[in-house]
Amino acid sequence: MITVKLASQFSRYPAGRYVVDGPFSGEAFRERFLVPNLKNEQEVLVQLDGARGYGSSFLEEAFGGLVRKGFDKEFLKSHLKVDASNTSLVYEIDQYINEAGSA
Amino acid sequence: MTIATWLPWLLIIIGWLATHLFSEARERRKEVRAQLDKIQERLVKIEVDARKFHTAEKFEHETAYVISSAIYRNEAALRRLEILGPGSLNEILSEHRKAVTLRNFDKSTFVRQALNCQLLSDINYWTLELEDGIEELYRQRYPVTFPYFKPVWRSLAF
Repeated sequence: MITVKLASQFSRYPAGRYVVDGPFSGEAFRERFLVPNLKNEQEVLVQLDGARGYGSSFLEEAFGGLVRKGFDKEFLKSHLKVDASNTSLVYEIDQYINEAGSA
Repeated sequence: MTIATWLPWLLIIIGWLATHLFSEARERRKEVRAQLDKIQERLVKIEVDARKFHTAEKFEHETAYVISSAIYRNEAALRRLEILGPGSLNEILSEHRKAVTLRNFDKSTFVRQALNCQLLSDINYWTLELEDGIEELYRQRYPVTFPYFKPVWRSLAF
């Protein structure tokens, strides 16, 4: 399993939905850390602790965006784990994965 | 040793323990209340800032950062309080964060919002829900009836 420590490997101040919104956007994180590993069928553990806050648009694009990019929800449930002491973040990410593309 | 000898001592010890217990609980309750008041004040400020942000003529990066930071600080303060059991406010915390920062929170998608728009209504609704959720947890932990706190044995599930 590959562990991604978002705060130290990406940014302590992640913000924005798309790359045009800034270098530490949800889209940038997804394309740099999640998509390449998941395409190789690697299990990925994302640790969220350490960053100074997450906007929902960042979370939605980073994780819900995986479903829009074509990753199967069941595949994501078995290959993508999220860990955070703020468990409401994990709750929210689960929602995005479950609800992405269903609207 | 006769009962007349040890009974007064026993009563003194029980009395001291009871006084100590209730005094500790009262102090703890006051500390938690003070922390919660700060959290509630921050929640109101987050709502005010969010309204200004979403109704501003153009995207304000600094305000977005201040709002994100305030939400993070408030959630961290809540987690430090013992009244918040694991996951007890997950849904409301998540919905509040989403109401403020999911839509119209990025430069690429920002559009000035009208004062009567759904987005501002949602922010107000989830702010109030979060305030109520926090107060409900406080009331459960520190009820208004004797003994004015939730004893440990009531937390145990059999």
